[in-house]
Amino acid sequence: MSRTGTKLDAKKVNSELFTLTYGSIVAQLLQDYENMEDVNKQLERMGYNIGIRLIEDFLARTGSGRCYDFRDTAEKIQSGFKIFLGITPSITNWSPAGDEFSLCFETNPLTEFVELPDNYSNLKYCNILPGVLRGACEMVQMEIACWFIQDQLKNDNLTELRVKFVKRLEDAIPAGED
Amino acid sequence: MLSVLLQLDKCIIQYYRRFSCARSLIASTPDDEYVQNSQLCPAVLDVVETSKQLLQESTVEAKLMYGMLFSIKSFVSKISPLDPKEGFLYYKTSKYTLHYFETPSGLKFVLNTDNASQNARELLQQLYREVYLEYVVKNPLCQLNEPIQSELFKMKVDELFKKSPLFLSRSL
Repeated sequence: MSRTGTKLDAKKVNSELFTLTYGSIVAQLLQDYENMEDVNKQLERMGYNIGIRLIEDFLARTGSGRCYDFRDTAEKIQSGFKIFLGITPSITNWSPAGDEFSLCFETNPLTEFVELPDNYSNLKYCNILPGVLRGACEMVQMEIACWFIQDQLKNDNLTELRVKFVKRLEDAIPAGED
Repeated sequence: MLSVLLQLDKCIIQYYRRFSCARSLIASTPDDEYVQNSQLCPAVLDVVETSKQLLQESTVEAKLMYGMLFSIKSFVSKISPLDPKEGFLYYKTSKYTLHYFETPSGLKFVLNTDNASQNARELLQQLYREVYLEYVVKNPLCQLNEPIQSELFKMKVDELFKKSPLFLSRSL
């Protein structure tokens, strides 16, 4: 009951605290699981669980309606990054069919103080982000697939997240009485 | 099309019956505001949850309610000559108005008021933004696909509705 007031303005939190907290989660997962693949999977799963809640926050803040097309979705995802991480990734590399695009990050608050040791080349350090995107999109009846194709931690120039539209999910009709 | 209408009709009658019960209850205890409200809140000011939730919900009424809203929604989207932006907003009978607000994530908020009430939609949006989001979504102990148990949430819903001009004008 300690929470008072329901102000909507984003509480400004030091991003360093966030970075370090995320780092300790990853470090803990690396301890808990032998296998790097399992860590990636866990991060994605955690992100998914965050995403299905975060979408409500996003919708309430922006008051945005349904997307008209996938380009619209891309812009909304971009604004989501602006709201929650304070960064604006650029939208590039559209596939000809318009169902796939890339988000390019010049800076990434998640990896600010991070260097990956050589033997961690299989670890997808920021794998929580694809999970968040997948969870959030699923709640607005969109199935997407999401993965990293470039990573600054692995000596690429920038971090590139590929987003692919899979299909629309339909509203379930409740089972009838009869 | 006819079958949709028939089904709709049935649901409205069903729901209307419940509504009139709630109304008469209010009328019989005009002094005790709290009783009034606590009778009113769970029954009429139902926050209708997501479809999955309603599937689990065993009450017939919730299913009927959901079925009706589902039918109205698809009916509205099919009958509209233009591409509807917001879709179904509210319907009005001679006795009451049902206000409907759905978020892009499929959450449905339903509020019954008398016919004179204005801006109920804004109230529902406020309910979503200031109460549902703050006390359910941001509460990790609240499962999103189950009926909401949180007492804090109930309290805040209560608070929001009580200070709303809709509530005040109605209880006069």
